[in-house]
Amino acid sequence: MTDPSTVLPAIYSFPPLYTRQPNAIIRRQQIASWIDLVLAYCKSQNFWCMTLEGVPVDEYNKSRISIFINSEIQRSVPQVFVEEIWSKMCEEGKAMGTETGRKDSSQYYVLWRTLDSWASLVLQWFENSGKLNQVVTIYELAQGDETADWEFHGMPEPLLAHCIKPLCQRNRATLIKDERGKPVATKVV
Amino acid sequence: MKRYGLAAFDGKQKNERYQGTSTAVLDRQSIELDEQLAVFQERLLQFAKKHNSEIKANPEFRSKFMRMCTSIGIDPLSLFDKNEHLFNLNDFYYEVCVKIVEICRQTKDMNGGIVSFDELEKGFFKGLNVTIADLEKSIDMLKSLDGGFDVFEIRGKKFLRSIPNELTGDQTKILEICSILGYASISLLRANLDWKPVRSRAVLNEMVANGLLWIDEQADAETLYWDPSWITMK
Amino acid sequence: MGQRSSKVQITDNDRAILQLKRSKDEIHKFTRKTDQLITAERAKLKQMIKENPEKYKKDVKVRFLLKRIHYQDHLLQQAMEQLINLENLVSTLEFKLVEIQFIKGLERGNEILTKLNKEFKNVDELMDNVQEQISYQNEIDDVLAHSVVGVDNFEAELDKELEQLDREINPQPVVHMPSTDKLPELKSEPVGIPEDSSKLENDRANVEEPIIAE
Repeated sequence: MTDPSTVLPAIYSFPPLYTRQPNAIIRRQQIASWIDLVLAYCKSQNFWCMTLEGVPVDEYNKSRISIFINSEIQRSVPQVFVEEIWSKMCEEGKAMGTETGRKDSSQYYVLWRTLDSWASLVLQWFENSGKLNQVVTIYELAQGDETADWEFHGMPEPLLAHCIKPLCQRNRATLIKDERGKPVATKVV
Repeated sequence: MKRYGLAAFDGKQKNERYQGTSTAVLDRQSIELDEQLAVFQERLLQFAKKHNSEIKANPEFRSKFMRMCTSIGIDPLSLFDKNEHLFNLNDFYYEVCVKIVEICRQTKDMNGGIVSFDELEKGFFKGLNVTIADLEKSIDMLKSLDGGFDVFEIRGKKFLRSIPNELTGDQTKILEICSILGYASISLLRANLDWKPVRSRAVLNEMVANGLLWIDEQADAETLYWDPSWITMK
Repeated sequence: MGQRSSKVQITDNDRAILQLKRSKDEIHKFTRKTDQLITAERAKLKQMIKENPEKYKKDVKVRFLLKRIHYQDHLLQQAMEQLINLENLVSTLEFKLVEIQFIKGLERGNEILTKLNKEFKNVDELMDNVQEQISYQNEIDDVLAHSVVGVDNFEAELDKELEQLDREINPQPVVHMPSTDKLPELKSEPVGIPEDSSKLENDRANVEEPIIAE
């Protein structure tokens, strides 16, 4: 388990960052700083998803601490302000609620690349590995040995399906759904 | 786990080789580009030396020359050499002025328009051969524009204020206190300056409204007022 | 724009492969899970032995745990084998698809080749035609030559005339006559027929002229 304060820049230990600033201009700057911190933390630790409280979610369900709590300087961001930060992140396309893109979700995907940028990375993999015109399951993409060196390896499958949607819109791909309507595979041309 | 199918060709090994080749190619390209740029800069300097008087005398020519420098990505500041009196010496300071104004605008929301000279020199003018004395001279020139730039000292360190409203004596004193621990508070002000809480609160709140201080409501006893320059100085 | 219509098509083959791949994914998932389980249980086993160093061999729990681990290990082995089988099958299928592409390519090539060959047959006809036309042209040439002169050996006549012209242009070499230098000189006085000398002069001029002209 990596403590956020060891991987994040000095501003993470700046005590007033944890109090919602009354001055609107400063607050905008403050929220922008928080967004940068969340993105940087998730990217460095390969976290794809966080709870509303800022606790990283991963498959092993290890207990982790929230990024919004800094025990070293004994400060934490009030929940109301945390929600404000999440809504701003969603607005900027840097986060996405896990439940069909709703804003007030209990968990959020953290997008340190935009969906479009992920889409082109996935497309690049398909082109590089000669998998065009073949059916590839989402599980293969996320967990398979062939994507191990790629940044999207380990991405939660529903998020990965979201990343393929821009390709569908460009008619480069199609998503294949199972009986319950969950996307399970894709074919890219 | 073993790899099968396409993966069995051991992508890693191949990738490493590709990566090796690509880095080699990129390195070579960047070295070539660096060389070209160096040559070009050298030529530009020679040109500037040769036509120094012309550049000095003809303001139109001078501005065009400068524009060319910026458009190919050469900071005109790096072309200046104070000791050789290239161009008009004042132009060097003008360029520094422009840079200072840019920095102040960029950091205004973060620090309420107050930047220390240390931050300017070490953070923004790194590698440009600009000393604190040069900064001061440039800021002197800025003052004549009446843009509200001002230099003041807190415990021997120089600060630049770029917001138009004047810092009051009280505000300066609070910044002095902040430069010790990073923050000020009503009790700290009472202990050090013997101020009454009413006075302290009024001044502190005004500074928060101006964006000079950030508040911290999670301290043990009372609200703390932090100076954001603490982040860069830490 | 017209792009809408060009949706990516999912064929029956694709669906079949998908089915296969999904079972492969399931087994892949299972092997991972079992692998983790075994590691965890081994750690637990070590812990139990450490806690009870003397009589761990008789502990039912320890024995049970070890059995469990062995069983899981066995399952993992089986799963791995199945995984290999499935992966092989997927590769074979994908290769078959490539082969189909290959066959299709061959077919198409063959088709075009036949078409081209057919066009070559037409060319044969064309060549025959051309040959006919050429012989017809020759006939016309002959007919024309006859109709102008009306004699068979017109060409020979022409040859003769050309030879004549040639002789006129390129004169015969001059014949050398014997010298007259050492002969005694004749008397300058004309001998005989003196009465009509002027007529003689004229005759001589007539004889001499062709020589000059030559």
